[in-house]
Amino acid sequence: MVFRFLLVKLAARCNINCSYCYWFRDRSVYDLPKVLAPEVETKLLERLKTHCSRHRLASFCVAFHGGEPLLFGKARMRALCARLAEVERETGTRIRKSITTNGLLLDREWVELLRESGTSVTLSLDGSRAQHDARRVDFRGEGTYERVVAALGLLRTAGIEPGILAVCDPLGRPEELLAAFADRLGIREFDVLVPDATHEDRVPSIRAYFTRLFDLWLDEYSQRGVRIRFLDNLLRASLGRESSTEAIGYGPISTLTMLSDGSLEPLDVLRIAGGAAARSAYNVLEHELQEVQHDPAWREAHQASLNLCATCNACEFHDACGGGYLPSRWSAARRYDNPSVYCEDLKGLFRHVWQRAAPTLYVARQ
Amino acid sequence: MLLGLLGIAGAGQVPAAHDAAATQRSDETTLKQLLKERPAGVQVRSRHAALDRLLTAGDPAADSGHDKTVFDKEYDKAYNREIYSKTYEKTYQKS
Repeated sequence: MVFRFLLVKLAARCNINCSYCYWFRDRSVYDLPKVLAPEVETKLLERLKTHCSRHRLASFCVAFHGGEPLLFGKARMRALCARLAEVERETGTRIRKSITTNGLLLDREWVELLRESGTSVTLSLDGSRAQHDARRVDFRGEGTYERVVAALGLLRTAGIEPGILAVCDPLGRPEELLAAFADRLGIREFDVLVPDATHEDRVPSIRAYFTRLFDLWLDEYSQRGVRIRFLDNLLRASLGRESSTEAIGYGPISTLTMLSDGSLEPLDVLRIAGGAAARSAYNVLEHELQEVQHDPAWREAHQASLNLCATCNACEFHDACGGGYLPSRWSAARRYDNPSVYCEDLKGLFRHVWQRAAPTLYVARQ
Repeated sequence: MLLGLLGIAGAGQVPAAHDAAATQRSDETTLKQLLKERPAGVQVRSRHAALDRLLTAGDPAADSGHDKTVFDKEYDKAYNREIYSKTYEKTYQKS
């Protein structure tokens, strides 16, 4: 597998303190440089150039990530985007850029920089003010909703409609989230993510929440052009199509992550399993991007994404579910040799989706 | 076995609800098989507009980002903007 997607941790710190954040569950991230080290940045660009040329890639996606990636600063971001444009010119590979941010540091200058550099924006927002402020708080414990909505307004003024990411509150009301997004803010595409958890966590059931969300979407909001990526993927996977994210569906993990010290790792969410599950001995300062595939931690994660446990192999939803999101399979005792910690919920959701979809299906000649 | 379902509807034809329900009751396994195997010449469609868009849209580009924390605008451009947005604009232009 040739990497075509790199998550770059521009910052290992964040300016807010969300209650559910996966990244800071592994305290060792505090040992990393606060922002991407300059020598790592230089080496990364060199490696990227080699990678794109060697594999003759038509396009490569760089996702700027954190912590909070805007802590990287405007001057360095502007320079990085210019250097990525050079890589593009020299290799002929189109470098697609995206950034996932909490939006608090966004101002007109940032927005202009993102617009000029053609960087796609994904903004984190958890629904209504009450839903958002209950969990996405700053270090003074104050809610951040107003500031994120202001950032959304700034982006829209510049003609940027960001993708919106919310994290599901299993005990919350999907009606409230839908009303806040689609009715009040006019957001037409967003995702509602399953909370990150392993078998070491005690997790509330997500089944009732997503069942209700699905029904509301299918019966009302889908007809108004609203798209919820998780439901899209749940449906696509149920109907034999490919999912667009690694969170659902059978297939190999393809995300490569580079930390602020240049370390190369698989999926960054594996940090919830503790550093040991994700940490590799490979670093962009010494290795080509592709070489991380030789690392035991990377190989274990990659092979686990393809080799499911006995329970999953016997399950009717094997292909559609793919064992769930890889980090959710982790336990200290059996590592990835488990179904998802949300297994029963996912099975219930797949059954519900099929029960609602099947009566509408028919076979047509092409 | 698959051929038994082929005569239900031609291209562009949407069967009546009772036909589709009968199909589902009589041979749900075949429907699942068709969805999985996608044989040439036939296509599983839906009478629900949003589901039908999902069934007829292409799969994500092989080189699109698959990380759940990133929205891939390349994919969205082809998939969402051209499919969902039309419905959205239509709805909100009316209101």
